[in-house]
Amino acid sequence: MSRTSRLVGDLVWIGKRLMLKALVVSVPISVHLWIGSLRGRVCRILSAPPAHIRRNIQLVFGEDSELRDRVALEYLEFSKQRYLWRLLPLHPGFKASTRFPILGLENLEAAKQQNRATMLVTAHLGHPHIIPWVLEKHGYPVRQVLAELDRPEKNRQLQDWLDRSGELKASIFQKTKTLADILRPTDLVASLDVRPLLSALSSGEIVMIAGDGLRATQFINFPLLGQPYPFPTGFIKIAKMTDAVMLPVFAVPSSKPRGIEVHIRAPLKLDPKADLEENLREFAEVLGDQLQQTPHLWLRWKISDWFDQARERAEQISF
Amino acid sequence: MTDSSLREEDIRSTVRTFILEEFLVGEDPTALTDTTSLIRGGILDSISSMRLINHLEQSFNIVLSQEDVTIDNLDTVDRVVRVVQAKL
Repeated sequence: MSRTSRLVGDLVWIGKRLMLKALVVSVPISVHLWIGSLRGRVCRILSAPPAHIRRNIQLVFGEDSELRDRVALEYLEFSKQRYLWRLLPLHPGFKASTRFPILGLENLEAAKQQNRATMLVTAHLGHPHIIPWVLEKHGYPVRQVLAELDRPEKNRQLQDWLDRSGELKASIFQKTKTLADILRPTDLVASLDVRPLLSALSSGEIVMIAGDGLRATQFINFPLLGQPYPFPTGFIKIAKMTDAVMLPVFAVPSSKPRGIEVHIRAPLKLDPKADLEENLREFAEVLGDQLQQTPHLWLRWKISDWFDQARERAEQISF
Repeated sequence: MTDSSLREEDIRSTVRTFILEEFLVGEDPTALTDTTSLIRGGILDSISSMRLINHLEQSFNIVLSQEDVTIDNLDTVDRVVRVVQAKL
């Protein structure tokens, strides 16, 4: 690559970052939500969903009359989500906005009143990244467990890119971080070392973890949408160990008014005497139920041959 | 034998004994070799790894950080020994 083309590329990148930052600050939240929906619709009109999304959804739901709608809706939601997840919680109007209600807050309140550790179990569905921010603005600080990859200082790829980028670009990056680029200091990194997670739960903090993640040491296969899917077992063991209340939580779009709702479901019934499989089954069923209601919101459809890949990845154990 | 090899054998014995007594009760001890995969082989998970870490920290008066506690470092008895040696 010539020096000139690299310079042009850098200037375009800097321009886009600065424009994004200006957009975040100057446009009201309600307009962002509208733009997000519009972006989804435009993407759906201008381009067809990738074939593998259709293949994944077809594998689960078959070639029925609704297949086309499901695929289109998934594509729309994902395009919308890609726009919104980068900026919403960092928007100056986010804290005051009423477009992010919590349903089922009484479940969280009840857990807190019992003075027990509280584990929110979410999934790669809808807008999971927004959940801690919404709960925090309602007065419930949450420590989320994220992949090491999401922590920029631990992300070698990002660090290499920053090292190669030169001072100006790196500085612009730092000043225009979006939600996709930040991990809060309180967040926990998914790791074989679960001591920080246990410590947080033991001290009564609310911890959020994804129950369908593939960064774990052990998995149990359960049917999910009729396909065998590897569920990580660690979060159940930790919940049993700390006597944590486990609350499934999902963030899904709402239409009137346009926004995102955080749904906190009733606690999972952990039976200390039952085996791991039995205790994990209930979460698998809750997630399956949510996916039946909102299949288009699962973020896994984007990955080609998802169910096969999930099983392969689960066997590789990645941290 | 040198001091360091004595120390290494001491660490190895501590690690092996703990794994056999805590996680492989009733199993044939010869099945646990220095290169048996502990994590990928399903002998250790995150919780049992934590118990092993606590035991190592107490036995050898060392501190293992989150960076030390990785699958690469803990997947075999040999690797665990190396991590402990590096901390002494």
